[in-house]
Amino acid sequence: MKKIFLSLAVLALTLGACDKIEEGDYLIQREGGGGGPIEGGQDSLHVILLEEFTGVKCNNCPAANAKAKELQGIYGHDRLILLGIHAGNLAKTDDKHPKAFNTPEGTEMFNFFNLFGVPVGFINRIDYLNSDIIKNEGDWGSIISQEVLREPVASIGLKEESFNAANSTLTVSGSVSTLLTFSATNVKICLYLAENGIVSPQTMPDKSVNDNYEHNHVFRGSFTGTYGTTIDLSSGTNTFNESIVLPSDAVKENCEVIAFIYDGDSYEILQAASIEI
Amino acid sequence: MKRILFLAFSFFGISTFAQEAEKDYGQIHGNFQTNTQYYLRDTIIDPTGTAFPDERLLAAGFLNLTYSKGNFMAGLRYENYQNNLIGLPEGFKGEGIPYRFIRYKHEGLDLTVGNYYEQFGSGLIFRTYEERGLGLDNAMDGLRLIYEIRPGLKAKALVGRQRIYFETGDGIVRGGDLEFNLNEFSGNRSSTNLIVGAGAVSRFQESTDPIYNLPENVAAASLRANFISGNFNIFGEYAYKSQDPNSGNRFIFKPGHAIYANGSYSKGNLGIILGYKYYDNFLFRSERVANFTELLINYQPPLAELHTYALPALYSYNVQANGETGMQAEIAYKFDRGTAIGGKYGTLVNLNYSNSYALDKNFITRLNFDSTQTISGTNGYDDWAGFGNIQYSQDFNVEVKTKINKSLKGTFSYYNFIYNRSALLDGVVDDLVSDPNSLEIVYVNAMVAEILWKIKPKHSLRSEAQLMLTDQDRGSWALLLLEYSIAPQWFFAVQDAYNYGHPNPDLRVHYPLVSMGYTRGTTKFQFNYGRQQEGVFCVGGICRVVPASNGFSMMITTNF
Repeated sequence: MKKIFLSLAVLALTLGACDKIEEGDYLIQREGGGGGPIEGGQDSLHVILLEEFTGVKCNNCPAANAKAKELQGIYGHDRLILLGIHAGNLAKTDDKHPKAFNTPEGTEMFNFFNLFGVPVGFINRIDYLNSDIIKNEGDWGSIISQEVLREPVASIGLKEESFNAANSTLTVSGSVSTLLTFSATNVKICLYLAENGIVSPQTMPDKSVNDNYEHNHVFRGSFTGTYGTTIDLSSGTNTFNESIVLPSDAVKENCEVIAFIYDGDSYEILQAASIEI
Repeated sequence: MKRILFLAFSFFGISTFAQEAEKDYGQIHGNFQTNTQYYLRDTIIDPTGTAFPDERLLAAGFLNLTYSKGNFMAGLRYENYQNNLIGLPEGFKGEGIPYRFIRYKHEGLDLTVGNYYEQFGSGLIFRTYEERGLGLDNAMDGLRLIYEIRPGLKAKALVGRQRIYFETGDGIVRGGDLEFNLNEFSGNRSSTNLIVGAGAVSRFQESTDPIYNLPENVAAASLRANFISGNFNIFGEYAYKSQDPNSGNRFIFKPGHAIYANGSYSKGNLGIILGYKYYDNFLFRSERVANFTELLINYQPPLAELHTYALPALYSYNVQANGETGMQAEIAYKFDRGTAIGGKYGTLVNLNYSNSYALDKNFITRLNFDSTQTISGTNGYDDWAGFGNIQYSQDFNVEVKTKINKSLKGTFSYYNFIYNRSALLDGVVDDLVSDPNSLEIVYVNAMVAEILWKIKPKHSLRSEAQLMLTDQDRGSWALLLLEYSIAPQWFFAVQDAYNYGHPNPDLRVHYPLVSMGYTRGTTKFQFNYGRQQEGVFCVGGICRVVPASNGFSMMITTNF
């Protein structure tokens, strides 16, 4: 009989091992409705780049995109930079989707990092070495909440240098400065162009096509190739100056430039920054 | 790794020595399998090259080894994916020993350390198993204790984490189960018996989500009873799951419920089975965010017939994770020989009907940050929703098996399906459906005639003629198969599936396939060459899409 009671006790303990969240507490309450836990300027904080792989024919992508925006609303544009990379089979044109926004660089990354579906994302490209770089939408919040707690190892200054309307050439410049904790030796810098406010058809969750869907932070191309260029930070600081010809259909006023440095061995992004043009 | 290989070779040595010395040094058993496919580029069935791998040749295989001596057992499985075949999860990549265990049994005690598979009841709250065809392996890695308290009363307790490819998941799973068998307990040999059981499982996973207060401990529990009396066998199980917001249910907080009931009656030539299912928010994984077949803790029986003929199998049913309800009824009757229907040798007729519906959810929404309505972060919908107005599937089929004469046997089948392609294949979940009429429903009528002709001793010819008619999806198909067997070693087969009704005339193509197999002892070799149509491979209500491909394939299996 004792053994039976013991068995029942094990069952009861297992069943009892559950948490009850009261209905009013389902959502984490924030003062003012938003804002991250850490305050400060972009130069002194670890900034996160969420690279969201997406596609105009992907019905699950609008929800992932909304999740990314919600997270950006929580952490702020200064802490969380979004980049929508359209790639894969669901980022190809057809009769209902005249624009697909895929780019050679995006496709190259999609293949190089062994992606096989969208929506997924990279968060500062962490966990490449342990084959866990691909993060599902449901995990973005938890991972970002941990990433924002990291100390910054560098700061990036970024500004628009010039824009030649005749040939649509945009030039940006800036500098990278390392902080005391910086240890990477093989560092690369990337500058990507993103565009907001593009209204173009997108397949929605119920499989219908929304012709008036607004695409934001769409990756339009790179100043520095897919994987960037090497930057020597052995002296603690360095500058850069790069140019890009805007795509013919891009609206310059809606564009932003994203700059980031990453460890060339682990692909992990060490710091990021962005400016609107 | 070196140590494990050394152990494995040591076991071989022990086994050989055992034969020579005729002493009991234990036994080693195992099985080996490899699947290799060489892909050819086929621009007709795969114009964009989606299913054409860079590697050209892909291979996946495994070796199971089990050593046992007396009450002691140990085993391991080496797996190799160079790389995994197209259509199977790409997470299986590389090689390793993801499964190894030590097991000891003594006086009612059964202790396992390492990997193990286990099931409580029908699996509603806990089932770990391997199904290689699906790329599913949710084995536990931890401890398991099974103890027979006394005859008829068995307890199980376990703890561990689940396998995900070559790693284990973040979530810790712990559980217990108690089962009482009246006849075994009382020592009766009655034809009437009652088996009752209760189980509970819980999962711990840390949460740092910035949006939701997610419960880190989630538990599920069930009660079940199986009553057997004479010609009747009735089984029922109810299960409850506490709040489990996850990516599958769009982070809603309502608890889950599940009911699975099955009753059968058989007497003489008649057999009747009736089943009922009600699954509400009952997908349970050991991580909140996982894909497809990853980290499943539980199993929801599909209560739908699994079709084996190639064309009807294109519309197999897969259980809907966000909830469904339905029933199944099956009647089998064998008409005796000498009757009008039974003919000279007797005829078996089997009728099967099943359906599945979405739950009638009264959704609860809140205003999201972007002023849209969302169910995430709410209870989702009210408990105990009834049949909804979205039908997932209906399957009615009749199968007639008869012997025509001494050398001819026939199986003739008719199928009628209603198949919700939007939900079952495209994954459109019900809370996103504003108009059920917008869903893509496929209406199918199909027929299959299979004839087995015993030409002479050991020589037989099996033929299949299949026809599937539909105006939706990929349109109508026809298939013809001829398979010549020389028992027990050889078979040669040729098959052609023709998608003659495809709405796109360019895709009205033939899918020819030739196969041969050779068996020697416990070793089988099989070779195929040809086109394989895109389809759905399902086992137990879990499905994966198999892309169209073209090429050579080889499979070798052996047991020892």
